[in-house]
Amino acid sequence: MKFLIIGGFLGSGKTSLLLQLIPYMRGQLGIEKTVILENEIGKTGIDDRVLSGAGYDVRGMFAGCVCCTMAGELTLTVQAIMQDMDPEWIIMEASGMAFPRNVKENLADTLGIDARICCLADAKRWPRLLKPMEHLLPLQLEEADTVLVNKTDLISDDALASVRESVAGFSSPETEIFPVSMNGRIDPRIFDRILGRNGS
Amino acid sequence: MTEHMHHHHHHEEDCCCEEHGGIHVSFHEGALIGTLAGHVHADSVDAAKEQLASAMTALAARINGTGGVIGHIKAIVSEEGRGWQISVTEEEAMARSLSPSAIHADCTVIVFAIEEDVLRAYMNDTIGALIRP
Repeated sequence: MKFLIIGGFLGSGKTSLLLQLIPYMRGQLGIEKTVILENEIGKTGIDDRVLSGAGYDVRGMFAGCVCCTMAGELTLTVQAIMQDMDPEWIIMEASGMAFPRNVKENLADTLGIDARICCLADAKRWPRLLKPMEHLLPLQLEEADTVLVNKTDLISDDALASVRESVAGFSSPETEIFPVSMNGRIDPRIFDRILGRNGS
Repeated sequence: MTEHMHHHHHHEEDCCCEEHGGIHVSFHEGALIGTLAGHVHADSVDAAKEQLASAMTALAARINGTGGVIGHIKAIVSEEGRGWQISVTEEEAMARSLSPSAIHADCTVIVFAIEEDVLRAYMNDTIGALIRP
């Protein structure tokens, strides 16, 4: 079983990514058994209903953050999913305040799972949020395999170049950074990189 | 920020406060999380979507006007069989159609750098006027 953590700040486009990624996995890669693990900080779920309404298998973890206050519950929930459903992939949409690296370390330490991380950055809000969220945004990028700089359709080329440079400055040299707009179709080669596939 | 500070900061206990007028506010790592769920009085789910998007936009403008930082304001408004997801991260609302009596709404407001009482008042004045617990 493979595990993907989708991280990134609140409203950066994580659910929108899933709404394109899962159909690609089903349609192009023939991966049918994927479970989405949805973590929201609010006491009621919003995004899980969007995803389950689209016909996907979704499990919810609400009213806390999966990288800290719900870390123990995460282990039990993933164990239960593996035991009961035996999926090919578990894709976690972390809360917008989670540090994906903490989740990755928890999964490795407790279950021996080597998870991939894809992190989203909101290109339009990045410059404005970076200062007030300086203890969150840069750290969310840690150990990401891929970073999607989203909402490129809403900013100029110069602004995008600046955001991309900023994101790269907080990322490791191995991290692959892709500018995208969830309002359009994502290049399938980016999906392959998110999933750790060499692609075609 | 050092590793030690990061972990210390991120393992503080969450705190929850009592509900007033159906508005529930909790705290997590410097964020205020306001939630409100209930019925919306509208002629249709589409009309409810328009009204709620407008109220959420007004709430966003108030938060921004007070110097608060919007994380995400998001809601689902649904009726049997169909509904909408509404999302505000700045000042404009985006709506996404859902494929899923009274019209039910759930709204979550995640903000920073704003007082709890101020958030409650703003939520009460905007989305609280539409969503009845």
